[in-house]
Amino acid sequence: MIGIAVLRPGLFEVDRVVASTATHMVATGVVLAIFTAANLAAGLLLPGNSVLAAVAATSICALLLAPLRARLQGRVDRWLYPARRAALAAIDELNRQTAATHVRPEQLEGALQRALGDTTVRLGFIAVDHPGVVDLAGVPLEATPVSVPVQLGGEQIGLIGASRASRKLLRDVAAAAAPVVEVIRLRLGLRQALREVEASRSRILRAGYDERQRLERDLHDGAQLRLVSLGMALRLAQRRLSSGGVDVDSLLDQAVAELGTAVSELRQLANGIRPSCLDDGLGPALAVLIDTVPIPVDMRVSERRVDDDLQTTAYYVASEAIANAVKHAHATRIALHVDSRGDDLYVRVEDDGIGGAEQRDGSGLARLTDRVGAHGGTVFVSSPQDGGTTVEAILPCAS
Amino acid sequence: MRIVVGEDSALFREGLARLLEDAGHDVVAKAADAPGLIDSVDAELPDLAIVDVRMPPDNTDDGARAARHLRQMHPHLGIVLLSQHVETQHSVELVSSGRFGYLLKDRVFDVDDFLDALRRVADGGSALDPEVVSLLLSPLRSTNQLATLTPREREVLALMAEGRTNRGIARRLWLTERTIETHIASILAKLDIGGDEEDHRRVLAVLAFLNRGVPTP
Repeated sequence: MIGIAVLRPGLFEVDRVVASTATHMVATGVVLAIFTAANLAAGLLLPGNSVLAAVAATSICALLLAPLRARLQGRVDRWLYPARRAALAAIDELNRQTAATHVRPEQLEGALQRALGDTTVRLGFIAVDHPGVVDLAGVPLEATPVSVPVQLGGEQIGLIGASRASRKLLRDVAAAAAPVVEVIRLRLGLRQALREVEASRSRILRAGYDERQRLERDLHDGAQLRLVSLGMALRLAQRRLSSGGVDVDSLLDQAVAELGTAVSELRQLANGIRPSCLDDGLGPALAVLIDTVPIPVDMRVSERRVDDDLQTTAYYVASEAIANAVKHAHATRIALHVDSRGDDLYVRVEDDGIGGAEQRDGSGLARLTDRVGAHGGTVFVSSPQDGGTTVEAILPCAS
Repeated sequence: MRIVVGEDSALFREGLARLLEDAGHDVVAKAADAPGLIDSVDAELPDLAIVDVRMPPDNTDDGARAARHLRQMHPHLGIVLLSQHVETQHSVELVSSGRFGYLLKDRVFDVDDFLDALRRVADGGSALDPEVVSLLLSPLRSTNQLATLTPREREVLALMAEGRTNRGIARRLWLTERTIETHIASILAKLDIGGDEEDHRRVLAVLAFLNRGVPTP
């Protein structure tokens, strides 16, 4: 039994036992030496009082022993008890504690630093949907003198680095830590995704409020004020009627013209809330839309009938991208392409304008991305500085 | 009266000016934004300023802010704010300061009533839009004291809150001034408002009473 344990030290962690025993032996030796020396010195300084000398020597030993033992243990550990085993034990321990207690997998880096006695050990993670290696806080990991990739299923998921550890050691640790690193990575990804959803939700809410405010102003300052002014003009005319100084015919003409303007303002407003031509389907609605665009639009639409929400979002993507092309990109031609691909509705708007469009917060493009995101879709914008912008949206048809 | 009009919509501004001139008033200046309005009042020292709540430069409540400023600079100036929407918090507070009016723009449809409100404010009284008053008297914010009023007394109270004089209320309800005075005495007693002989100050006391019920946000 002892033979097996000695021959295969990893099996029963004999090396750890050996390390502890060795530490004790060395410590005991050092203590004995100090005690003897202190006793001798005290005997010389306090002749004839052996009890006091012994007490003084013991106190000095006790004072020196505590820090000494810790140091010795570290030294001996490094000498007899390989770092590799310490690191693997720390990973196992972390796994056990994660399952049983409140210890979190994210504490892996600290556990490895303690096990290896090396505070320069760093862990990096490759985010689920972003390239680049980052630390727990999402900050790009600084390069270390030694580093090896952490891999799982043939894919790099992270990085372990240190300033003085051997490459061999880090490789072994990386292999053992891979499952925990993957857990941490997925947890980070999930947290990030949740943060993005929260942010997008509050942006959509804010956009809704802004829209309402704009509508309220347009109504108050547009049609409502026009109607009030009209009513006032009619009253004024009525008061002047008795004096006979009113051209009733032209007054009525003016009044009807004002009414016509108010009605058309209301129609535009209502259309801004939801284009009523969408009732006829996406294709016809887009045809009406491009009629209002001052530059040529090459339109190809082949879609099957989709539900109203999706159709409205697709219309919104097209109108927002076309408006950007006309207003900001100074385009001279636009190509609009809508079609269904498998289960997805695909919208693509391409222009020959100045390019360089950015998806800044609060910009039309950011709102568009949020709206499409709310449908579970994705937006791709390509707008190089040397000109031309392409906006593509893929909207999954829930069926 | 000498009147300054501050209103950014040219259509409404010109229409209003014509209406006022037809009624025999003197529109001495027309301004399209808040700074212009303040300059015109400083230069013309009119009897009354008619001010649109929402005006450039900010297009938020620039008119209301200009009105507060004018009130400080010209304590005897009558100020009537015109708005497109009903709002209680600021309107009641402003009107409660006296020589102040807050009316919806469509009140101009009832030309005589509108002109009467302008006249009242210029004479040191007040004018509060009936819609605002009905919000103040709405069951949601009614106090127990208000519940003790008879329907007729509530009617009289509403007209008082609008800033009307006893004679105006009497005309409106087809009652004699004497009857109105009896109603008012009863209202003031029920609401525990000190009886002041002067119409204007009594109106302000009523407004202060009603405004106490305003839930602070």
